[in-house]
Amino acid sequence: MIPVEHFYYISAVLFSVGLAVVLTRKNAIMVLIGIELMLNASNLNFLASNTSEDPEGQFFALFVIVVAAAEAAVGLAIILKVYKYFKTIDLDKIAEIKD
Amino acid sequence: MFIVIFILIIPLFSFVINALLSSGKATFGSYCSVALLLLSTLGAIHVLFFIETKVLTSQVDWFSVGDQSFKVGLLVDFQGAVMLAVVSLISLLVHLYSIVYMAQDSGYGRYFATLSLFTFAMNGIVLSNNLLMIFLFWELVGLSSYLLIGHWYTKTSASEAAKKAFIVNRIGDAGFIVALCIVWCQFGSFNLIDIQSQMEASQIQNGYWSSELNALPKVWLSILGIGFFLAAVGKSAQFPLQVWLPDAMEGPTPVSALIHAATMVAAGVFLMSRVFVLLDGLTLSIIAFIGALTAFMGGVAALAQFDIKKVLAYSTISQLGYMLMGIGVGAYEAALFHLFTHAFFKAALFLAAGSVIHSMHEIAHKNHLELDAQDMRLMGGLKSKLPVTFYAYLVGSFALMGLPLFSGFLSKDALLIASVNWSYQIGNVAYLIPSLAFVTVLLTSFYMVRQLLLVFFGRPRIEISDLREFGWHFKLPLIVLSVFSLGLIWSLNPFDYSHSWFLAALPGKLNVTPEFDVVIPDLTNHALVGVISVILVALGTGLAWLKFRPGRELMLSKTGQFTLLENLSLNNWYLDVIYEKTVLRIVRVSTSALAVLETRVIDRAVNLLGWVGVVFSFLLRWFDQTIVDGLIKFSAFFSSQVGGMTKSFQYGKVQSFIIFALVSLLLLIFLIL
Amino acid sequence: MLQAYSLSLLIFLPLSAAFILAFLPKKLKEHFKFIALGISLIQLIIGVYLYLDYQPSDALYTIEAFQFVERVPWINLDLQSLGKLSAEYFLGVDGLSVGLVVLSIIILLIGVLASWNIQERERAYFSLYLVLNASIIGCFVALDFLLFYLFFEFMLLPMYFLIGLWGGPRREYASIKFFLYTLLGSIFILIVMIGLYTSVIDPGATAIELGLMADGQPLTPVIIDKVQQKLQNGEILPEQLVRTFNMVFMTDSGNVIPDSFLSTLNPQLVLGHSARFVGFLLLFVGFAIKVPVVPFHTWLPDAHVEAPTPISVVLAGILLKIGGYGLFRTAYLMFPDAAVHYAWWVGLLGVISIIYGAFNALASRDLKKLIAFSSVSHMGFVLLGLAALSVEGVSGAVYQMISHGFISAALFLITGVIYNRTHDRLIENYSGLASRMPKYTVIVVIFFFASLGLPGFSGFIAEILVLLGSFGSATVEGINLLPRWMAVTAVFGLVLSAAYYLWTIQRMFFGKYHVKRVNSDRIIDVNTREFALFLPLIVFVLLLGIFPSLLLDLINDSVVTFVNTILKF
Repeated sequence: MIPVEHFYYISAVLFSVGLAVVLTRKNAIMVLIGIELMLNASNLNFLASNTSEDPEGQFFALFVIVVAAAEAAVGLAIILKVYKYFKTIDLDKIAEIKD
Repeated sequence: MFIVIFILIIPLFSFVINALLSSGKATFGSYCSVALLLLSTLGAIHVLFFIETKVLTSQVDWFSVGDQSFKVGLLVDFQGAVMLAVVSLISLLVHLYSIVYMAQDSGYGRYFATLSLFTFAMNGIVLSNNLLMIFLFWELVGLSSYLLIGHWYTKTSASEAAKKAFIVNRIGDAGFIVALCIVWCQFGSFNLIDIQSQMEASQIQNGYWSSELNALPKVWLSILGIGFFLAAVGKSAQFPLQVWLPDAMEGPTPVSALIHAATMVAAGVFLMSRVFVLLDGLTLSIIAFIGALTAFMGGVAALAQFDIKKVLAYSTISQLGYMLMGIGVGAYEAALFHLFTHAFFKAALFLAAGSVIHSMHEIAHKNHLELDAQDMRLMGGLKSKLPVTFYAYLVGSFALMGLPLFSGFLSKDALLIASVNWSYQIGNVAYLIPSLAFVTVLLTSFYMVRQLLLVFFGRPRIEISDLREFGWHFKLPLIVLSVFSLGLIWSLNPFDYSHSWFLAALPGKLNVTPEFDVVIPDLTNHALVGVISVILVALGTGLAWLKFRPGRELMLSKTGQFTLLENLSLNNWYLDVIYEKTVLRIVRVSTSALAVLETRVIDRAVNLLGWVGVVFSFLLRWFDQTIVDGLIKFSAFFSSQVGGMTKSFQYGKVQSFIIFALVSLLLLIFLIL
Repeated sequence: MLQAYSLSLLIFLPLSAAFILAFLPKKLKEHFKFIALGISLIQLIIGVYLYLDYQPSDALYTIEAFQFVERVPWINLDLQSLGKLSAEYFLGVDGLSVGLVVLSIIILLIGVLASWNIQERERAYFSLYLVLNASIIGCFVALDFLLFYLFFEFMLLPMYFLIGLWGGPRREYASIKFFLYTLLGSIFILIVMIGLYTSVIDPGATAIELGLMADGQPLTPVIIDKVQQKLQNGEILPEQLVRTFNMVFMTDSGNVIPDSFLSTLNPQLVLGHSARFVGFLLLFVGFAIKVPVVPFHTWLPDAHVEAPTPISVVLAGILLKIGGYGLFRTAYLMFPDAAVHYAWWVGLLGVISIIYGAFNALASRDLKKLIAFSSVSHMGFVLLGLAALSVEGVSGAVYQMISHGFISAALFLITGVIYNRTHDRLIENYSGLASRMPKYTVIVVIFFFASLGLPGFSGFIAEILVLLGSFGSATVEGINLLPRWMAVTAVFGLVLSAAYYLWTIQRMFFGKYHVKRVNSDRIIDVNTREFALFLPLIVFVLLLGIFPSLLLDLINDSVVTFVNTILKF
């Protein structure tokens, strides 16, 4: 039986990697992938904390997967639109919000 | 009583007729006035004959204030009836005389209207039963006098004289008003009869003069008397207010005869006799002294005048001084007696002078000469040309000088005796008063004889060959007035005033003033006084004859040098100059000082206040703009700075947002844990 | 109908007419003056009715002492622990005011006629004039202090514009000066009004609050006594007190709340004086500015000189009297103790005004300024008579207000006549006008003599009464309120007034005809319209001079009550 802490370590690593990707990559697609990583890290947490008496973790994990799918779809659609408008998906160059 | 109201109202009616008639019908109006005044004169004579010693009075409410009521009422007693008759008669004669005298005047209607108004007002003074009404008519008399002196208003001298007369009189009236205030305060009534009985009941104790109603410090009794006397001083042209009367000669001569010789100026004396009961010892002494002084000053001023009317004017001042001296020594009935005799002979003199002046005008007009028609240096030898005028003048002069057989002798004798007896009783300085009075007798005869000689005797100084006397309009008044100047009319024994019907009819002594005994004039020194005065008259006549007898053309050149005395006389003791330098200067200085105070101080203070307000507002604005507004601005500035600073964080990079969010989250967590 | 609403009619007729004027088309501008004239004529009819129907009454200062009373609740606020506020629309006249109302109506009518030649901005002019008309009448008939103050303030506005827009060359300076001066006075009055309001209760409404009587029941003296007794014993709770602006209740010292600011028992000192004395002084200064009393008078010469003739007429004829009336109605009746205490000073200011005004008139070279200063001098008599607190003095003061109303109106019309023709008022530029303008000269002589107090004219009666009254002034504790020298000094003012009037007559009208710096062709005699303006004034001045009972019978009882009320204190 693998101690439950190991799942948490992996989940933390996975989350950090996702966060790093989100913060460092310039490409919007990569940022989206980073977000997916973070979401999956949280899924791993949910599942690790799941017990047979208390199955809420599983429900949340399933819920997060569904939401992540939807989010990815919407995110990709937005990126497509952004690309059509700015002809780039480099986040540094899309700084329209400023001024 | 109705006849009295009738007499009072008639002249007012005549005034209304003349005032409303158009100038085309003015002659008709003037004849109307004469007819109306004839009626009122007849009425007055009727009243005089049935009045005897009766006192008629009646009054109605005029208005009331609080529970006090002010009345209007009439009072007719013997002295009032005589005065009424005298005023009506002389006024009638003057109206008649004026019809011709003023015939060519452009203000004919106005003249007659004012003359009637004057007669109304004068009758009002005589008939009023209370002091308020007397004051009312007193002022009205002043107004008509003002209008008549200023009748030829385009002449600056006339309008100046009118103004002077009114203002000087107004000073006297101030005294009258103060006296009215005291009377009202003390007695709560203006009724003459009430006042007399209340005065009898009043007492002087511990320095207070107390009546039923009130108690005032004793000095107010003297102020009361002096107030009334001041009024009389103004109206009767006494020292120191006599300066207006000579100037008043600017008015038409009939006016001078009626108002400024016979009646109005005598109103002061009449008033003093009405309020005689209110005069205390101090006041009476002052009155006696001022009266005698004025008599003397007027006499001196008349000595060297060249204007025929000015001589008469100064003589009027002098004679009024006699009358007031009579009041002052307690012989008020003698004063009234002199008032009535003087009214006739002075009116006769003035109307005769008017006749002379009118003739001189005629000459000037015919011969196209520019001359002063009133200058005696141009007259002379008129005796044969104007016989009626001459005899009227002669009779008038003799009466004025006080020659026996003429009316003036009787009344002047009474006054002189009273003053002599009074001074015996008082002693010391009091002798000054009869002395001045006797000197004045001398002066009077001197200037009257001088005038007679200059005007009527000697050679004519200008061409008068075709001069004729005017018709009955002139002659009738002169004759009537001359007749009344004869002694026989007034007393059956023309050498002894005590036989006079007038004095006999007057009621007894009105000696009610506390602390003062009126001297009862007796006949102790009668013979002596009579003889002395006749001697003085003779002396004065002799002196005048020596100096101005026909043939001597002394002092008649206009350029000649005058002696000091002559200058003093000509300039009426330099009173005008003195007033100009003192009173008027003080008034002018204080006027301009107050005007300066007004514009430079008070107004500037107000403007300064406004200016301070403006400066303060500016300060406030500065405060508002820099401090108050500054605070607001600073806060706005501060927030914009802060905003700018924070804005710089928002450079639009999605990832940096996330870093901030993350850092903040971590901080939050650390803080919470 | 007329009995019940005549006073409201007097106020609202001109007000509504002013409103209508504002909306009439401009092409009717020739007819605006007829509207103003019509309103004034209707007012005249009502005024005659008031005069004839007024019954002299010597009732003490209760509501019954007033006639033509209209009383409607206006503002009612419940202020919880501060008690209740009530202001009323309360109109009425007594002997002190009825004469002034009639005077105002007549002078305002004459003012309309004198405005006949106004050629610019007729609409504005006549609207403002009508507003002025309403507020003047309102001032004289209002018996609620708030209402009075409202009208008092409201008067300033039209006056400011009428001087500032239609006036002479320095009109802006004059109108601002006038406005600020009077506003300053109003502020003083406002302060005292608020003080009085906090200190005085309405016994009727308080009785209802206490359950002593039912709503709608008439207020009887018994109930008033009961309420006052409870009030003085401190038995009424603060929230049951109904405070009021009613001037009649303010007059009754029983209605003053014992621990209030303006109570006689208040030991608190303001600037070293008791609060009531300060209240009196503030009211005095507020109204003295309007009278005007030296040294608060400097607005008057400027305002008069710059104002157009009809406005000068209204200003001198009526507005000055509002100051005097205010002293009677408020300062004296509400603070009788202070009035007695300060009588000496008030009398002194009166005498100073008389003498100072006369001297300044003597120094004036401008005819209008001379007459303005003579107004100061003559209004001094009002103050002197009032200070004396004797029946004669107070009657004389009221009489002087009305007499001066007529005379000064005429005097300003006189200056208007000459100014209209030549636009020059300097006395020294004229001489001998009598030969060119005989009718005018007669009018001038009549009114100058009327003004200098010649018997037979109204001014004489007024001045002699004031002098008699101030010489024998009321005695309090055996001492005369005014020393006797004051009356004696005031007499000197009469001499001076003769001097400046006669000097003017002699200078301008007598002597040889001669004018300087003026077009001689314009010197023509008065025309019929101008003569018609003077005629009624001559008639009134003579009537009041010869038959003083016409007016004195009307005011007599009220004056006696006035004096008794004050001296009783």
